[in-house]
Amino acid sequence: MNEKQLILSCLEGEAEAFKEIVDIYKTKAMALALNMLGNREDAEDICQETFIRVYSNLDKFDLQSPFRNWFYAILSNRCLDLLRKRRRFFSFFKKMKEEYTNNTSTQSSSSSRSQPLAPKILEGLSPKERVALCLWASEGYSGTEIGQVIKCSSSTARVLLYKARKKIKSKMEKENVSLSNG
Amino acid sequence: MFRCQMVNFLFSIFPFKIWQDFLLQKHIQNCPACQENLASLEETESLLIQEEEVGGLEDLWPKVKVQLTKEKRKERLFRLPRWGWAVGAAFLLIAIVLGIWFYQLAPPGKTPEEDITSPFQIKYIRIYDKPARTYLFQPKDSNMIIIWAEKNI
Repeated sequence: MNEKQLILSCLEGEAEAFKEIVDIYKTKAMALALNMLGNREDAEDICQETFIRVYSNLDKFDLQSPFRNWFYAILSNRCLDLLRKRRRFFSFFKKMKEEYTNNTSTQSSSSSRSQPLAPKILEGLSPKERVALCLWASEGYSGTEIGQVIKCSSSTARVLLYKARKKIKSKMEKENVSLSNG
Repeated sequence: MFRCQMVNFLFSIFPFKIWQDFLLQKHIQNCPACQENLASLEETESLLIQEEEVGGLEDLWPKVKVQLTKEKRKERLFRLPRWGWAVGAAFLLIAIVLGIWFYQLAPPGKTPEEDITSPFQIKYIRIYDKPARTYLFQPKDSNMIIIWAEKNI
């Protein structure tokens, strides 16, 4: 069965057809979520949420457009939402930490909770730059397709990708220099 | 080289995406020297977590299935049938019509002038624009009422 037939079967209420969609996309989704969030627990939660959202909104999907773009749009939106929430939480946490500098135990527990998996080198990128980079490198997406996923123009997507690649290159070069000096 | 520096300078000073994309299309994407400043596909791939490295997703479908069953149950509980809205609107309309009808049936409230329980009322009597002392007399076994007003000194 191809993707379209699977979607039509899902719309008729066949759970097994949706299982096949989950099987096709689960590793792709997990890889993107991990690269975006750098945390296994969050990535799993986001993947789960994304599949549920996909299933419940399947009737809104336009069968003429590619399913993977729609799927990645939902996934990246969820990731961006979580990153926004996390940023708010960390700014709040930072404030609290400043107030209670003596309490070191809370600091260690929070840092162990969000153990980063993605390399530090990606941390300098904005969330949208990360999405653009991941879709380009893992899925071979063009600027236009990236734009469709993150809901921006193709020129904006190309600029995001360019900036991400440039930042990564300069970081890599810096790390190489520091390694060779060290 | 000078041209590359110029393009990169122009890229950095104007933050407009359309302008930046124009420079990308016109020069950066086709220039080998500028491309050297960008991470290649292979380099980027080596930094990212790949699909093959992602394991342990066997329990994802069971978790999703459980959630979907919960969602379906919730949906069934709160979902109105398609004609539910029509029935609701009809009931509302009937309630409004009945309300208006009952309101019209109810006898209207009486004004104080129409109230027969008090035969007559005198708020006050004024003599030469000043409130007067007022007395009411009703002789025994008579319906006659005498009003006596006296100038207030």
